[in-house]
Amino acid sequence: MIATRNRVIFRALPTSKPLVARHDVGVSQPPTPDPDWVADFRATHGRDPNEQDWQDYLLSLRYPGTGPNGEWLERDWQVYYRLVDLLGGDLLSRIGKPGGHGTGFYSGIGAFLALWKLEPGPDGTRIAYARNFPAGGIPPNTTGWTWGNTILILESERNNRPLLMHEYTHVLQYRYKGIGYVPNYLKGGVYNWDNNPYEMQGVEVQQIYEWNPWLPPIWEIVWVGGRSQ
Amino acid sequence: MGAGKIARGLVVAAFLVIAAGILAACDTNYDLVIENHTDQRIAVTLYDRLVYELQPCSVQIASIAGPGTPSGKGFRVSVRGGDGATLAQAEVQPQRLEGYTQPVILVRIPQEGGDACPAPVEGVFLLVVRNYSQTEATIWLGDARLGTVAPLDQTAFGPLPGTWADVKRVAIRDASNTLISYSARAEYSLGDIPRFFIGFTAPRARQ
Ligand SMILES: [Zn+2]
Repeated sequence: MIATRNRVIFRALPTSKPLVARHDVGVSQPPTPDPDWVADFRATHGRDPNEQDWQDYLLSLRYPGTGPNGEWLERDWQVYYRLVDLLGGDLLSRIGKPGGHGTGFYSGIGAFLALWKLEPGPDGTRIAYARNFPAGGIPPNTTGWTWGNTILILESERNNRPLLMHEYTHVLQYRYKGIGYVPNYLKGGVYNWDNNPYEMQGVEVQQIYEWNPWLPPIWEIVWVGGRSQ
Repeated sequence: MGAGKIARGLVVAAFLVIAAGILAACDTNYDLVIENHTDQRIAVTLYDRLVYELQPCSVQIASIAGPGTPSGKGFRVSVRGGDGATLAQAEVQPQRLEGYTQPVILVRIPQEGGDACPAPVEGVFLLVVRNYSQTEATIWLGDARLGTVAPLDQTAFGPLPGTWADVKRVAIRDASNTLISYSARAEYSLGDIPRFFIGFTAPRARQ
């Protein structure tokens, strides 16, 4: 079994299976999959589940799907896997990790632009809900701007969940690429969003959340790798 | 090299990084408004990857991100008919329109030989709120409390006077009065009252 970075907190959830594990950042001790779930999984998929299947199942216990009682339907899993495949292991493996010095350098510039008026955001990010220049730190005509782990969002977009997921996708990209992120982004084409790989990911994530408001936030995905359908 | 020169070099380097960064990961939101005035199903594609499928005589509104600084470049949009044939391809320039808070990418597909559809209803909307969480939520439109939506349930509020711009005024609060962020989009038939859909979720409650 693949070792995880997580500490396990056991708690009861409102499901038929009374004891499940929720992962939190910390020590490595993977939970033991529920034998009933393993049997169900084998019957449905015709193969043994792996550690990632178990983590995905635990996620489905933490957030409701679109079924009548909040269960995840087959089409919910399809949407979830579309999101997972779109982000890929390179980005998903950055969840829960702040990134290196390069990311920290960009985060600092973001904090400076926000004049350090930052609120704690999810997964180690810091968010400034600001106004456009010159009143605030966001360029004119701009809604969201990400610098490392620092996200600047227009004050009027505070409730815009798909936009936050777009910007958080950029956070994971920064953590993956480090100091090389900005040069790589510019190479992808600033106005060429049809081909810029970073924005292609961003806009698609945004659309997935626009159409599927039930989806858990990206930072709730526990990635141990090895997804297989 | 003196300390002054080093400091000046660092400031210049910082400005260069910021100047480059202004262009990176810098997003502007646009309202994408697609009106299908034809009697056939159509599919509209942006960025060669975002596909919006529309029924005959229907409208969809969504938010879409694009370059954050004025590039002068339009959005490449392609429209396919129900049979898969390309009906149109165009570069659409965003424009400011009444009833929208953001620049609008307006894609209107007309019927050849006259409109096949009823006229759009304007100035009024239904707010359809879907609560995917397992706790009750209270819905506000500006200062007006519209009501509550039960767990895992959907409620339609209205008709309410207003436009798509009013969706930005919606606030959703849980039992502890905490704001919940949400997704919004619109889908409705021409001639019907516009239906604006809002959805949100939250972690399952502990027992
Ligand atoms: Zn972006």
